[in-house]
Amino acid sequence: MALAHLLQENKGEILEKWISRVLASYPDDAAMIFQREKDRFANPIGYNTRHALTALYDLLFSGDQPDPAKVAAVVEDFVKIRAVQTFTPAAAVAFVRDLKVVVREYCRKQKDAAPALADWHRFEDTLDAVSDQVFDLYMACRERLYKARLHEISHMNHMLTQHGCPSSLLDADQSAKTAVNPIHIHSNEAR
Amino acid sequence: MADTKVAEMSVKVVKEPSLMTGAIPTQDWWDVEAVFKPGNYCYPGKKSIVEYHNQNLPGIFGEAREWDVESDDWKLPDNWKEIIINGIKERLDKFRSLKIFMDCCVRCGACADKCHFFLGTGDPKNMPVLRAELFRSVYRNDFTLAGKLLGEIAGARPMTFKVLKEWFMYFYQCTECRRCSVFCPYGIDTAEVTMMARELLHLVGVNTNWILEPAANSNRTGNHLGLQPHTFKENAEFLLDDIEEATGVRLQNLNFNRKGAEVLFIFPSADVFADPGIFTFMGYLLLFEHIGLDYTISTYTSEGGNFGLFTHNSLMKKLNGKMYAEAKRLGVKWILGGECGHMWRVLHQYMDTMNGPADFLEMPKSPITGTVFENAASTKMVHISEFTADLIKNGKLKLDKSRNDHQVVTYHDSCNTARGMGLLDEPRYILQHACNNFHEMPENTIREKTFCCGSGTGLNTGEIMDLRMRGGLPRANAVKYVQERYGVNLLSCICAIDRATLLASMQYWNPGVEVCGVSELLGNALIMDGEKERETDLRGNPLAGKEE
Ligand code: SF4
Ligand code: SF4
Repeated sequence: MALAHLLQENKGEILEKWISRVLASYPDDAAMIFQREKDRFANPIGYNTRHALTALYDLLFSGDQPDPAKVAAVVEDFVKIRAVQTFTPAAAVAFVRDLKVVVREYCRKQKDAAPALADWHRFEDTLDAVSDQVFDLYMACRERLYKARLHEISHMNHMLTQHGCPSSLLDADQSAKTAVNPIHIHSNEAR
Repeated sequence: MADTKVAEMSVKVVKEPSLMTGAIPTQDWWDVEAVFKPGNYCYPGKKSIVEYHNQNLPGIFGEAREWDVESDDWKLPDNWKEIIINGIKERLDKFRSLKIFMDCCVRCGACADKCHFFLGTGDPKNMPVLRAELFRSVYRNDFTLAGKLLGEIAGARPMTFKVLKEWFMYFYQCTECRRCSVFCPYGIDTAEVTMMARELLHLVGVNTNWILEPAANSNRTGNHLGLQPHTFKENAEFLLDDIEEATGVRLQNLNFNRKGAEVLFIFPSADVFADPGIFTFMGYLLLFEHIGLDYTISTYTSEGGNFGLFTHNSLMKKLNGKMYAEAKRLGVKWILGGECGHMWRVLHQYMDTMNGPADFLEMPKSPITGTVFENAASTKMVHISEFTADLIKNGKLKLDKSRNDHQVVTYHDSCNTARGMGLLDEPRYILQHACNNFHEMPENTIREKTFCCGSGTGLNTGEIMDLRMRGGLPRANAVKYVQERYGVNLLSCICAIDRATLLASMQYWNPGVEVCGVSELLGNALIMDGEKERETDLRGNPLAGKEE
């Protein structure tokens, strides 16, 4: 059977396996809850995982090569979540590779399903491209996080530095500390 | 909802990320060590700051020293275990609720998936039931017969350094938001367990600087930034220029430390220096001018927020005491409180017993509407949202809602005002009268069930930004929904910590959504005597139809 056909025909089963595998990156008890709870607001990780993987699956196997803009649109929120969790960068984006494993295992179990090598190559190339793209998205998330942090630091101080707070007279070596924690600059006496 | 595995407390909590190692080691929850790495813990209190607190309140904050959270030597006192066990004993005798919370959990699991930190991290130790279990296991070991006899079988374990590390990790991944307590059939309030655990940690000098330094500053100069009176005053005055620019009106009513004023106004100090709090402050001033309120601001109690709440009840009491001391000194009749979260938690739940009753003050009565705020009969302190809603209800405010038409607004219930004091409808009532485009977030994320911003109780510090984003996910996820569905671009709230932290949260999760105080929107809508035709809102953004 052609791989593309197999992936479409058996979407339900393969997709569920994929989702379970990705959710298994969380501790067992959490994975169970994230799998079970269907309310999207009571279970943001579970919902976003399911939602993103389903949409990505549809994009990947609906025929043509997936359009990167569409891929970004469907996985961005999900990558955003993974990007601030305790995963290593590789583990955060490993969900794309997880699909390879799931499909491979699925095919191994189907006796009459031995897709042609060319099919496999096409499938792997597609996933590799998406994998690379997802890593870029991951990095963009990290960058956004640092920007938010910088913004927080600068905005807590700007009124003071503009308007003659004594802290503006502090010497340069103190500024390293302010970069970490704006509150330090105002507590000379307490220091 | 019962989760059998959690119920049995045999939770397996560790699993390597998918595909990374192939191995899936699993352990019982208490075998898993807390590992501190940059980004998952708050910096410890500076020696000088702890010394400062020790001068004022000896015996509460442990020994002042430099210590490194990531090291295995926290330079604890030799008898630290004894200090903690005695501390537990003292608290069990003193606070009946603690004893009840220790004994009555049936591990039904109803709270397990209700905590924003669990929902954002997937870490089982962030399930409220397990968080409390970190404490309860030690309690069982030393204070229950079963624990003494059966040890681990009865879920008991002795206090060890490993446990201490766990406490420091997970009692600083709880924002004391109390969402879990709403779902607990027994009303067990894990927030109170966290408070007790943090007090105990303080006793042995395990602490965080972001809490202790603001608390020191509040004690010393009256506000958490340590702004001295002249700076505080200058910052506030500077905002008059911005108000004039937006409205054409030069306010004359801003005043400080004025004896004999009718009302003392206390608000979070961030409202005079931090964006976007400053716009909320402008809203307060416009309102007071609009109704001709006889009020004053004290530079001595220039902080509504009470960082003592996150440390120890004695420090909370001391900082809170300033409000009454200053009300007495200035000879006001009653106190009006601004948009602050934990200030109101302290006021509503503890002020009266700690420092009240304030018999020297009068029963708060709105000078404009004559409404008597009987709910504040004892504390003599009225929330600005109650006060404003009453003005609107009595038709005392001239409002032009259309001046907020360029915004699509939603409202975040701050944990402390919503769950802590039941202030749910007043802010909404104001919003309904101040703007045309208002949309609620989904039902299970607002009012009593509101999700925390993710950074309360002194967790709003930069070094744990990743953790804050995880904790903020459930709230942001609900905002995203109204952003996509209704085009919401403004998240309103009545808490200064929210105003600061939701900003970062929105920048990460939902770019395009700004954060504001409810009073800011009121300020935009208020029709002031002698105003110019408004072209912009208080932020200088063009009003609908006034774009270039
Ligand atoms: S704290 Fe309450 S809701 Fe949670 S497990 Fe215990 S009894 Fe159940
Ligand atoms: S009080 Fe809030 S943060 Fe703490 S355990 Fe309960 S839900 Fe979680």
